[in-house]
Amino acid sequence: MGVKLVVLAPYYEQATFLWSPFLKGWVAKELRARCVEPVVLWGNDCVPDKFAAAMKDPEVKGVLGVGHGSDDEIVGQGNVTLLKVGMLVPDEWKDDVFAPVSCLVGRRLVPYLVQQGVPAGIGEVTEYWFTAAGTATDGMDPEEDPLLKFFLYAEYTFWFKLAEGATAGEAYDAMIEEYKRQAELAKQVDPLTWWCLQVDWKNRKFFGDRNYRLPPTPGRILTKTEVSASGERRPTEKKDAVTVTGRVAAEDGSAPRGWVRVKVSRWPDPADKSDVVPLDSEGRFSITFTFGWDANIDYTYTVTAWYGGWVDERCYVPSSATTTVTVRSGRTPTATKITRVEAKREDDVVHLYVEGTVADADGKPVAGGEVEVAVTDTFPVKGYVRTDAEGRFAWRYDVPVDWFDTRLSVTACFRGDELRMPSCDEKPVKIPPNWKVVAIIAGAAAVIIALVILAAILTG
Amino acid sequence: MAVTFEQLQETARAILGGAASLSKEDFARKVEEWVSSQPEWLRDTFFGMKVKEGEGEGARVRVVVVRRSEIPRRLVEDDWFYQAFLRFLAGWL
Repeated sequence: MGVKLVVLAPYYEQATFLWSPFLKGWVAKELRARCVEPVVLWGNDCVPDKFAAAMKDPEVKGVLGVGHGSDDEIVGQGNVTLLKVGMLVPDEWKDDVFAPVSCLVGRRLVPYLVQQGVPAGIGEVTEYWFTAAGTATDGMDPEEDPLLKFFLYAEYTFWFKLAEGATAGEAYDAMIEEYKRQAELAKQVDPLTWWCLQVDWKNRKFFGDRNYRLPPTPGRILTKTEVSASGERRPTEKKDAVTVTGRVAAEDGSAPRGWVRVKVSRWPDPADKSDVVPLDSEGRFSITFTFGWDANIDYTYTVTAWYGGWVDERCYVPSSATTTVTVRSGRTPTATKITRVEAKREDDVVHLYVEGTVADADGKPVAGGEVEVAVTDTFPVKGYVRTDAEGRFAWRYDVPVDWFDTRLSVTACFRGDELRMPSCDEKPVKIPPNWKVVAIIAGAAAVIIALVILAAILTG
Repeated sequence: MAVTFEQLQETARAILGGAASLSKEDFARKVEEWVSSQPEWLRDTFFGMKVKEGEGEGARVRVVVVRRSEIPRRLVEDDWFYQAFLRFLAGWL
C-alpha cells in the first residue's frame, strides 16, 4: 500500500497564482522523490466534491497546499469552503495530517480537526504573510522566485521530513528551524521578507500527536550526501580554484543514480558559481570552479551539494550537504619603515634623501624587494629602488626647488611579492630656505637701512 | 536620509502604543519613502497574506496581495489593511 497526500492548489487570484505553480511542480516532484504520491487538486479541481472524493482514498495520509483561511474555515477555488469547524470528520480522515498554508486556521479549525480525531496538524494563529517576486515559470524550482523561495524551502521541510520517516513533531521542529534559517538568509536580501518569515514561524503552531508518523513508503531509499572541498590559489592565473568532491550514499548500499547540483558561494566580494554534475557508478562526483581574486584577500567559499533524487521502481530520496573552505592570500604581512628623510638645498636644487628598511612578519629583512618612494606635490615625483641583503633601501633625487612647497611628505611602499604583502610608511619633510638668497636679501636690506639712516643724519 | 525598515517598525509600535499621533497619510508617506529606498527590482514584487473574511455568500477575500509600490496607497484607502499592516510591522498579532 502506497502513501498519498492531497495537495490543495487553487488557482484563481494573485496569491494562488504565486504559490500554486510550486505545489503542482516542485512540491509534487519532491514528494514523488520520496515515494509519496501527490494528489494535486489544481484550480477548478480544488472544490468540495473533488476534495471529498480524494480524501476517501485510504492511501491518503495528509492534506497540504494553500488556501485562504479564517478562524473557522479554509477555502478552495473561488473561495468555496473546503473545511469548516463543526463539519463531520469522516473516519477515513482520522489517520491524515492537516497542514495547509493559510491564515488564522490555527485558531479554531485545525484544533477542531484534531479534536475530532485527526492525528496532527499545523495552523497559523494569525495571518500568514509572505512576499514573492512573481517570476515563476513552471514552478519546478523554488529558485524561480527569489523571494517566495524562502517560504517554500521553510514550509515544505515539514512534509519532506514526514515523507522521509520523521515523526510529526520532528518534522515540525525541523520546519521551524528552517524558517529561522531562511529568515536569516532573507535578511541579506530584503528586510520585509525577513520579517514575514519571523512572524510566520512564531505563529505557526502544532496540534495533536508529535509521535505520529506516516506509514512506511514502499520503495523509498534514504540517501546521504557527503561533500568536501579544497581550495588552491593560482597566482599565475590570478585565480582561486575550488575543487569539490563528494559522494551520495544510499541506505541500502546501492549506488544512487542521478545528478548533484553543486553551488559555490564566495565571501567577501560575493560571487556564486554552480553546475550540475552526474554521479558515477559509485555515486561519486567531482568538479572544480575557478574564481578571479584580489591577491591580498582571504576568501571563504561555501560549498553546497544537492542530490535531487532519482525515481524508477524505487525512490532515492534527495539529500544535501554543505561545507566551507578558506583560501588564504598566502602572503604574510611586512613592515616598511622610513629611517631617514632629508632635504638639502643647494641654490635652486633640492637634494632629497630617503632611507629605510623592509622587514617580514618575523622582523627579518626582506632582501631584493622593490620599494616605491614618492613625493606627492604639485609635481609628483617617484622612483623605485631595491632593498639590499639587510632589507635597507636608499633613494636620492634632485629636483628644482620651485617644484615643491616648503613642507611635504614622502612615502615609501614595499610593493609586495608572491610571498609577502605590501606595506608603506610616510614621513614629513621640510625644504630648508636658500640661505644665500636670505643673506643677499638681508645684506641688501641692511645697506638700504644704513643709507636711510645716513641720509637722515646728513639732512639734519 | 531614507527611512529604514526598523524605523517603520518602531513607528508602527509607537502608533499602536499611543506614543505617536501620526496620521494614516503621514505613515503611508514614510512607507513610500522606505519603498523608494529599496532596490528597483524589489519595488515591483508582491506582498500579502492568505486571509478570508466573513462567512457564506458574504465572505470575501481581503487585500491578499499587493505590489510593494502599491502598499502606501492601499494603506490610505483601506483601513482594515492599515490596521493589519501596523500590527504586522509591530509584531503585535
